[in-house]
Amino acid sequence: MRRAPSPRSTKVGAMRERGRTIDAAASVWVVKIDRGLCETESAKLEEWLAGDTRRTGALARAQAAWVHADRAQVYRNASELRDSRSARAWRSAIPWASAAAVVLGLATAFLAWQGYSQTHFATKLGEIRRVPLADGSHITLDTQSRVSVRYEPATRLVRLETGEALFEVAKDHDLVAEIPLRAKIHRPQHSPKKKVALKPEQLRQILDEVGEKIGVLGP
Amino acid sequence: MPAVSTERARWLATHILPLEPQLRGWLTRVTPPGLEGDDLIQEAYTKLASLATVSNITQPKAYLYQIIKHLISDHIRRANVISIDAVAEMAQLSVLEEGMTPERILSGRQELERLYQAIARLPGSCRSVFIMRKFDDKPQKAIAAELRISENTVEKRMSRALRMILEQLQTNKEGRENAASPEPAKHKGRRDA
Repeated sequence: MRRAPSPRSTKVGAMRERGRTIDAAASVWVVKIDRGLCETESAKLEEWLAGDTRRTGALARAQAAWVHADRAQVYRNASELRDSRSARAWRSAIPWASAAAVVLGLATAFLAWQGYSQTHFATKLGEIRRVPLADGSHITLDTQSRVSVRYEPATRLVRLETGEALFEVAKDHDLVAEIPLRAKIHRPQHSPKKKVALKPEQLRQILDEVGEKIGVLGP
Repeated sequence: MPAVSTERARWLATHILPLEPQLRGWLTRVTPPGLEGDDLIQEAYTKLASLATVSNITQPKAYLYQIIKHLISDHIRRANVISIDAVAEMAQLSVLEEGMTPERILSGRQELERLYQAIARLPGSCRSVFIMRKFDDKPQKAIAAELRISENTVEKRMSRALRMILEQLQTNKEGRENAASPEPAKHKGRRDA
């Protein structure tokens, strides 16, 4: 047999590329294919595939998952995921530093939500919920998140107990009237953004910065 | 053509991907030393991707296990010395094949739940680009523009999202399905043969 040796190299103990590495590369390729390959890239892909028999399989598998993901769209919670979409777009676009806006956001949301009482919102694993508030503001809770809100005349307690939440303020001028906010001063002039996503530790930082007891974190 | 057709990808997604957690469980028990479950699975996909047609495959699960079995015996045959272990493994292979018959495929709904959770578990930055692409059908370029990030970044986040979803899909994270029914042989789902 003079044929070239089979590229399938199932040699025991040989230095083989790990399956995981191949999977990672396959995912990259699928995304590149999705956006369109240039000629050089096509050639590179061919070359990559030819280098190991497992790679074609890994690529097919990653493509299957890629196609498969479309199905989540029709799932019961898909609209919630979708709702979070714009929010997430915001999240990556905005540096979280717009601290005052956040505080404004928290305050409105909670003020609007319920007078002096305490309210809880929570989401389960995989659930993403966007809660509309009376004034058009929203709180978006990420998966497995819990927020409790207590609003009292003297103190406003906001507990982001677990997870991650996003606060969107619909009308900030309404806030100014209702909230004695020192936070307003801290509002960056150049940043009119009203949506900010927070992680608990970020919220703590923001609160420290603003120096007002508008929010208090959970454990 | 470098990639598999969308039809084939869809077929794989419907018939093969959902089998993976179970398949991997089985592989950890039967894979002979020197072989990796990951490798066998990738090679099985290679085989399935390169078939001219899949329309004649009426029992994808049986077919998949058949492929894997062939891959394993190929390996054993190619090995210079047939070890006692390998022979034992082969015996085990056929025994387990019997017990494998009952279907333990997740229902479509459970499968969707898994998928949904895999997406929900993605880190925010990855998830946003992924959802914009898959649900809103926005081109990567448009996503980059909307998020004011580079296309390269979109690409990176997107492939990271895909990789993580793949990792999620290949295991039963909760391990419930396996725990609830440890012995497949108990459910003798005999077809009227």
